[in-house]
Amino acid sequence: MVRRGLLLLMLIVGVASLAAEDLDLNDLEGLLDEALQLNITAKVLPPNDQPVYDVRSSKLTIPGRSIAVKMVGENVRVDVVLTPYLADNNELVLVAQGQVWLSEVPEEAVKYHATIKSLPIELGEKVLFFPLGLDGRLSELAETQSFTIQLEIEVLAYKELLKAAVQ
Amino acid sequence: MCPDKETLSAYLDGEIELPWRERLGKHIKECPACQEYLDSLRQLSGRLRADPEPDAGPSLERLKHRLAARAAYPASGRPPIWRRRITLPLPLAAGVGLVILCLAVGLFAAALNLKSSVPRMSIKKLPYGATEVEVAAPIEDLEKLLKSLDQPAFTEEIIFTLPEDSRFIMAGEPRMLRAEDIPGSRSW
Repeated sequence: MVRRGLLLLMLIVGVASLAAEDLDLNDLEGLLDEALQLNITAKVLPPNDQPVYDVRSSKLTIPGRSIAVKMVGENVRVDVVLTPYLADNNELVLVAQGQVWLSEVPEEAVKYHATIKSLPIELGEKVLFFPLGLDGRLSELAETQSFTIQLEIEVLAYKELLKAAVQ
Repeated sequence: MCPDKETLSAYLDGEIELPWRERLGKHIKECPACQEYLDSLRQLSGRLRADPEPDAGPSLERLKHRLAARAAYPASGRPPIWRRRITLPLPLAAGVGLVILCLAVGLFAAALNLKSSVPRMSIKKLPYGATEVEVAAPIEDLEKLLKSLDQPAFTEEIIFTLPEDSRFIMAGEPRMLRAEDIPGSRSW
């Protein structure tokens, strides 16, 4: 009877350890299902229509995990934290938190601006974020030979990209 | 002297040759004990003949299956392991069943937990103009989330160095919008 009990206990411990390994694998597969690829293109906008600077980067993430973009220029430092979230209705929402340190002539004092913006998005849709603003003083860009910044963000399902790559 | 029981049984079955059969017949006529024993043997034989023959069909079928299986696996004389019957003691079978049940429940719970491990968010516009962002996650996941946030590697980071000799200005309020919503669609 005792021998049978020990055998049963060993069996349970063995199966439980196997189950733990399976759960880890399941977690990883679940993460792969949730994974998103963010394609981020930073552009510097001059007064005319053609950007003078156009750099692209891609990062993998999951909903709720942030991607930080830092841009450093002569008179500016811009930190943007981009976080894709799943809303309660399973809608994908992109949240952009921006912090800007900017010195402008003639004051030369460093001004700090902070903002948070959110937008419900579709997978594959292109979203534009202007941490330094878009309207209002655009006409001044030409007068002062100054520039502003545009981030173009595209959120894609990583699993779909993998499928497309295999095909 | 009386013959033994086997001899009397052989006499009844007609297996005793002459002249011994005549001598035995004379003895039996004069011996009540031998007559009584022979009567009992006759009665037993009559009862056995009166009973119906047992149905050997199922046994015969099992025998045929065994012979067929032996013919199918002549090398080892046994079927392959996946076709063999396994006999387990009842407590062991019950234990295995319990383990499988626990495993199924554990996997189901893990799947549920995984579904809820992604933090969800709701955004509310408050009456005085502020925006409230609420991230909802189970408490154990929130703890994990906070621990992860403390780690510098939690956030993926991209660094862009902007072109030199470029001065930037704030061109209005920061904005986020869909590319298709830009009026005139300035294709920067």
